[in-house]
Amino acid sequence: MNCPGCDATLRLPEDAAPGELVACPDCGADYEIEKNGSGIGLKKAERVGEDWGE
Amino acid sequence: MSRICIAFDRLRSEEKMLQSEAVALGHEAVMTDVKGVRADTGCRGADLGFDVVLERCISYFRGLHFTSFLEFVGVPVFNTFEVASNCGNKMFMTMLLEKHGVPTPRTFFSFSKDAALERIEGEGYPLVIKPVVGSWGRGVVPVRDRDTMDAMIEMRELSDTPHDRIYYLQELVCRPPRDIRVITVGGSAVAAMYRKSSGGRFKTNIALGADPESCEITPEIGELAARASEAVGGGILGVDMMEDQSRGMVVHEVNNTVEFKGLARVAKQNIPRAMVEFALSHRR
Repeated sequence: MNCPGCDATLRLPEDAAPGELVACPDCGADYEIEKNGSGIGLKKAERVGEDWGE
Repeated sequence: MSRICIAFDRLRSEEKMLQSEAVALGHEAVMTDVKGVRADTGCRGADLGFDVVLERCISYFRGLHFTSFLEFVGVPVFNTFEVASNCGNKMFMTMLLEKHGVPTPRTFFSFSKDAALERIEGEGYPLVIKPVVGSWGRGVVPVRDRDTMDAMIEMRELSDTPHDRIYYLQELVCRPPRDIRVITVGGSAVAAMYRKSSGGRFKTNIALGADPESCEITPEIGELAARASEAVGGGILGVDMMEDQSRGMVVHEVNNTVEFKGLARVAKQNIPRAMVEFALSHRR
């Protein structure tokens, strides 16, 4: 799978699941793994919100 | 076998640990991304098919509103709306701690910038300013002089966030460069760690790089954590306390969706298992 922004190769862990984040090692962009039919895809991760945390 | 829902909006290792423990205990764990949930007034608990829900959203408001929906349809959820609401706002939480006799730092509340400035000038520096909603130490600043207070007010005036018009100013506790995080489940302390600030920094948040170190749950720590848990309504919580050099332990925060990735590695007790077992003991 490639980074939608810079086309670098993204290595996803074997147990990667929808909702997890993956960061591009080249451009640093964050993506969220999402279900895409029977496989998985990437969408731009949400920005950290003021109400995020514990 | 029960169906336990692990509700999240960003899947972290904590949610995966909860899933693994639920499965290991012989139950079905349904991983639910709240961002994709379709909710409406026609829904009923049976439509969801969950026996109990662990609400683990990283966004406080998203989690709070999802929790209100779960309670509306009659599905048990941890933490409850009341507890999430109490802990999600530092002013509400601090007042509950004080009301229940839990030692907590003296805190001043102001509802405008002018009143906040007048108060801090009257009480004297330093005080710690904290946003009433927020986590990971964001916006928590020791205010040691008028210039810093002016800067904080200017930053808040530029923000569109209504909560920034509420000023929460707390005494700066004289403590060693660490605090203690205690995880409580059903009112009992299950694990604790010291969080040490590094490089002379004020903050001790693990999210900011503080060093975690295992901490023994002494009778004093366990009892104080239990009282803090009871004050906000119980459930699954992260109680933060400091070692005040004159008064002993004081509780300064109780967290609603506690993170435990680092602590789980060194804790004697299985933290996610304790959380899952507690939730399942309250299933429908």
